[in-house]
Amino acid sequence: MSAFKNASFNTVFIVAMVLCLAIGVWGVISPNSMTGSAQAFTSYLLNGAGWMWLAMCSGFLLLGGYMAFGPYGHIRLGKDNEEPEFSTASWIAMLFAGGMGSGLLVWGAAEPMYHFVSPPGMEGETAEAAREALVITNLHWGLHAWSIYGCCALVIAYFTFRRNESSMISTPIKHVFKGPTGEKVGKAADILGVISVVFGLAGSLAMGALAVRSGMFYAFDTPQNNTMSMIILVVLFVAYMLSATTGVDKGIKILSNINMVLTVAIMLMVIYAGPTAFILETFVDSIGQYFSAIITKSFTLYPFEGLQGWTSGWTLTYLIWWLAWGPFIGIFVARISRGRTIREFIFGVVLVPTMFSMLWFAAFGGAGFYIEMYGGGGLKEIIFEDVFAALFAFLGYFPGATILAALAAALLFIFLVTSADSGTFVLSMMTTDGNLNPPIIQKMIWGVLIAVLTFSTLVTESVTVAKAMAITGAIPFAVIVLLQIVGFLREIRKELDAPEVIEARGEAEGAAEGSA
Amino acid sequence: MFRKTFISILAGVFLLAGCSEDEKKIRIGAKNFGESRIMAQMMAAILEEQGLPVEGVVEYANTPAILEALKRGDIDAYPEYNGTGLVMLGQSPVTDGDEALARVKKVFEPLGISWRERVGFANNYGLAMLPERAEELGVSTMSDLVPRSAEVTLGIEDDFIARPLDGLNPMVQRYGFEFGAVEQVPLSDRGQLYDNLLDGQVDVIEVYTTDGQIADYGLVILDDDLEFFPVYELAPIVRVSSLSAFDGLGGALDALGGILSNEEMQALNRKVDLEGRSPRAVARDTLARLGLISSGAVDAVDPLAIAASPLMAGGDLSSTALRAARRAYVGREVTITPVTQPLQAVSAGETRLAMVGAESFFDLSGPTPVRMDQYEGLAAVGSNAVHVIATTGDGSPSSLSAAATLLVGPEGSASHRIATILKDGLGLSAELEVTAATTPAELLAGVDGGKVAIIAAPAGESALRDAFDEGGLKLLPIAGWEDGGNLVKYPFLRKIRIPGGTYGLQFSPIETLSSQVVLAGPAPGSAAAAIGEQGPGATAAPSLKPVPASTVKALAAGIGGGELIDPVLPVAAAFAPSLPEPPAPMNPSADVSILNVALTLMFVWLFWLFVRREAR
Repeated sequence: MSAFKNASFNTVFIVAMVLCLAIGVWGVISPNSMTGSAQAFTSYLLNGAGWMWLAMCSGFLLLGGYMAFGPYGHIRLGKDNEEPEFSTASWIAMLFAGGMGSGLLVWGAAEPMYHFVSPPGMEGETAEAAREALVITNLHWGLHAWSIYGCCALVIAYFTFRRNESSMISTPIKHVFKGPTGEKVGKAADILGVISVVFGLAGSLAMGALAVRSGMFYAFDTPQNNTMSMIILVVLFVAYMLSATTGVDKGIKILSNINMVLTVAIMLMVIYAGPTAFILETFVDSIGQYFSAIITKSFTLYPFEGLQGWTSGWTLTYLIWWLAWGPFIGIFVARISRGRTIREFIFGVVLVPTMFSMLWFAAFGGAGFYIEMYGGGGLKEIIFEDVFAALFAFLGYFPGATILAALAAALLFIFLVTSADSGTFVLSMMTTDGNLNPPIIQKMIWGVLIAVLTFSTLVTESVTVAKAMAITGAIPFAVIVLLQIVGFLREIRKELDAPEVIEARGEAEGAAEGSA
Repeated sequence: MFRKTFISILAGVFLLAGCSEDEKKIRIGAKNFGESRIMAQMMAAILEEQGLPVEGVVEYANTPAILEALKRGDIDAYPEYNGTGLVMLGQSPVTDGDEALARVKKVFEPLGISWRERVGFANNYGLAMLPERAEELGVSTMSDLVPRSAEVTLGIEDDFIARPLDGLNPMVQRYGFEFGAVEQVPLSDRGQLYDNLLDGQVDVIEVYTTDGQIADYGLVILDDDLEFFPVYELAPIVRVSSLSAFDGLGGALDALGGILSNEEMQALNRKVDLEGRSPRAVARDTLARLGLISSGAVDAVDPLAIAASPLMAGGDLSSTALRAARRAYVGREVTITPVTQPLQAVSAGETRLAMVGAESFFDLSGPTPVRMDQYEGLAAVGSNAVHVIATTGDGSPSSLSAAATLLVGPEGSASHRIATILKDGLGLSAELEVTAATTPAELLAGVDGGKVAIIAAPAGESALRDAFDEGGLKLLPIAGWEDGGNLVKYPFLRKIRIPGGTYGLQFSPIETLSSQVVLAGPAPGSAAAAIGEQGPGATAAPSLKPVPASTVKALAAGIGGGELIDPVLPVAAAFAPSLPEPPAPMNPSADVSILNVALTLMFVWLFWLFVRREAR
């Protein structure tokens, strides 16, 4: 069978598989000790070194800006005359569907409302609180989130398409440590990457399946029990296996495009069926507020207000989530970005999604504020009670609420499929030495493993385990990203240093772009 | 092609904008009290049903303001009483409804305001009495009361004194009353009149005939046989110019004609004023049941549940809690769910709030009570007095220590927990007998001989009064509680006295204990976990969220009275005082310092990796 021919069961595959099973068994047998250890570890680092997390993630943003506007902006991720593999629209749709997922839908109205009611260090439910709420929300979902992804992806994409090296987490690291040390560190990094993707994905899928289940409850009044979770998981499994086995240019692309259309449809309905002028005013207002506050907010930790707890509970939690998804989104975004210049890449991966999510939060958050400020109110209590129920209660304020709720449930489901789908794809790449079109058998194995882990999380009803699993990998992975960046920066210098043919061509092209 | 499309889209947008400019919407006014709000919402609902554009209901503080707004065209219509309409234009009110309407129509015509069909009820003044007292005095009409008026005390609100045509003095003069005494309360505390009547402080009170309390307490209204009180029948009034601007407006409002009797309006007022339901929901629900609008639109999906032990669920405090919760949770249906372990229902996520006695916050299984901090008190609802009830028959125990058996409610109920505490604190030899009683009456049915019932309920709870009125029961005091360490061990139980005369045949005050009843919700999680519940992937938040501070304040305001939560209970952050902290040491934790040294070294190392020369 041809599928087996290219299959590779290398060290990374075997060690990672064994460790995944071991941790999975720990989580199922003793969920409390597993969650406890994971949470204690993450909490300790968030409490003790909160400054480092924020500074590091803001550093990623600065690095992204330097890459786009600095001397390397013109460098193409591919051969100098290469065309992009995917159209710009599909490219953005895919990275958006993979990167943000259902969280955007669930937290769209809820997060701004949280900050509106209790903003850190100021009085809630005032006009200033509303402004501050959108700034904070955009801080959590905007440039920082996407530059974390951007940096994770850029280092991989550069080596894969510019240097024709393998698309692995270890590739940039091997440029830091030469020889056998590099091999060893690289292997460890690859294994760690695989483990954090597996658990990040299994955790997100378990929580996502529960979300779809409550979504179906609100939209179609289906029961909320374990049987329903299992049915959703089975349908999900079939859907993502079908999609993953067809390859990135078919399944993932089609689903992401559907996803994008649905997302935009829901957003437009909220904008135009809701208080249209108010929402658009909110959007324009939030652009100015966010971009003028970005420098201070990127470094705000509240040491004098004694609100460190707020920072770690909100801002740092978000940053940790983005980092936890970094290895997975990084490789996936790299995979679909062949043929873009670094400047294009940063604009597409960081700025465009940020602007979209700002519009999204202006629509959802703004409509929520409108309900509390000028409408009948009553939304904030539901949000504080159950974020998920609140999404559907929120949609209930709009005409055509049933259609909106059904669309939202469908969207939640497709978001899950695309995440699972790109996740299995990435895992297969990571365990086949960076094969850009990994063999089907590899995808099947990882797809099944993730389904089994999700299944056991759902059966034991241990959502906290899922969450602990999903974000614990972020901390060791942060060190790996830093090493990758060191390797990347060392190598990219050579594009300018050495008087090589590559440089001359690159310069000429950069100049042409600049004058255009 | 493109240009054509663009122009047509632009034209479409302007057309739409033009429409929305022209298309003025109907605004309904309401005065700021329940009955007017309900009627305004009914008007809005019935217009919406006819497909007329309705902008919403605007509230005004008093009659002159709302009438002025109608004259100026700020609002198009509002519900008004024909008696008030006459008085507002300086006419004297009349007692006959038809005549009043004819006159008011005539005097409002020059103002361009049209009176529509009357809704059917009249919110007149009236004199109300408890039925027992009325029977005792043998009165059913106001004239019947005249010869007995020297024996009775009249309760009124102070606005009634000031009215020149239909107030106290004109009434006294018309009927020739000579009241023994007249007690007055401020207009804003009108509800107090009913409390005074029930307490027996006054015998007759002046009421509005559609007050919800009348039906609630089963009061009788004395017949105004001399037709002294003018009639105040409600009808929608509307601007004539609006009638011509909106086709079918008048007809739609006339559909409300004659739909509500006094009794029905009393029931609706009760829902809003006493139960705290939203006027909009009450209005729409009523119209839907009358078949005047097609969809009830009272979406009772996802009601907010308050867990309470069955013995407390039907009690007087639960209506206070319901009213407060309905006001705090705007537009939500709130229900009381009887469960035996209310706090556990909250932590299991079955209900959002629980109404429990202070003793429920403590784990009594150990040698000393341990406070459970996963819940917090949000608002004080009232307090439960411990009722130790025995029969009056021979051989029944004369004191608590002589009782052989303590009859208690199901495990987890206040009755069961308090009995356990009493047994331990007083060293009682009595055995607990657990019953599945869901009402005090069921529990009391088992009382006989050596068995006494332990019931936690506010002093003077109506169910207990009824039981005592049937006779054969007596309250036993709790003596000797302060001996030993009980006051320290059980700080949430306080010594109180149930005043003499609270119950039938209980003449002397009874020493007993009380515990505060609070609304409780989940407490915020411990600060140990620095990671927040939220996050992009956290789509199903696993743990319970505490009730936000603004809702806690709304709950406390809804209960009123301003009683603070007993300081021995965990108090919601909204009410917790901020405490000073001792000066922090210069290095709060050495391990964090070491962690940061390691991290700094890591960055130095990374920098070195970046700048070092290429290895050959």
